[in-house]
Amino acid sequence: MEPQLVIQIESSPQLIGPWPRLLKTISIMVLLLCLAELTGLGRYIYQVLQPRPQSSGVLVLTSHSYQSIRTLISVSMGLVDFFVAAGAVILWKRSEPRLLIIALGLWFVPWAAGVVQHVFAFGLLGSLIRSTSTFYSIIFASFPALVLLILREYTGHWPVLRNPLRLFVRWLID
Amino acid sequence: MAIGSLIEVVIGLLLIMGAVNLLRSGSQRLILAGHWAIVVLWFVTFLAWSFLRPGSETLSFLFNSILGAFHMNSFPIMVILILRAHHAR
Repeated sequence: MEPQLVIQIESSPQLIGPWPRLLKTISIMVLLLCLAELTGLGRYIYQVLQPRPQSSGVLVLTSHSYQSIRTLISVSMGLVDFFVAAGAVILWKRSEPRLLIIALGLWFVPWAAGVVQHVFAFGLLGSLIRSTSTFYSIIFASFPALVLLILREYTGHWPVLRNPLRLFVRWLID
Repeated sequence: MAIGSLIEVVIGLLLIMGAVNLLRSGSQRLILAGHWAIVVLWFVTFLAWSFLRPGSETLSFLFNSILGAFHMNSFPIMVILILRAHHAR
């Protein structure tokens, strides 16, 4: 007698293996990061609202415009963090990554604005050589980028352009 | 400060070698060691600053340290957890 062919139709490939545990880990880590960023934002706004000692007019003008843009970027980042947190909660409850993918994509907009503002304020060389802020910004962005890549593997497709590093990775493997 | 930077360079090299090793042979050892080293280095730096800094502004220091810890360590911890999950499969 020939063995019968068994086809599993109830469990999708995403719900087996390490995925459930991985998705819960991602949710918790993302929620913790949102909490930290929102707390940092609250502290930043508190510091901005504190009265400052007067200095020369030119310095105050430059500092004021820089500070205003900085505050705008920080508040935008805080708003996006709420979306990211909502996406993480939905991922935890329903294993549905769509909102988190969109929110993390949005997260990169204020992040990039912050990097561009820093480069404009201190110059390209100044922001790269004299200050470590640009490098730290890249380090901060590595976690959301990693989560996006993992969720890409989970969903099985990529909503934006294909990974440009693929050729380099293939070259390394071959 | 200089010693810390030197250690960071060594960790960076370890991570690059570990990533290449993981891609080529699937070995996780070096990259895991590099990411654990980042977490341990942060913890050691935190302890050192706790003892060396002046006594005032304890709350502010703790606050900055906790926020910095989330930003600096979330990526390495995530990589460690992913590699553990992959290893356990």
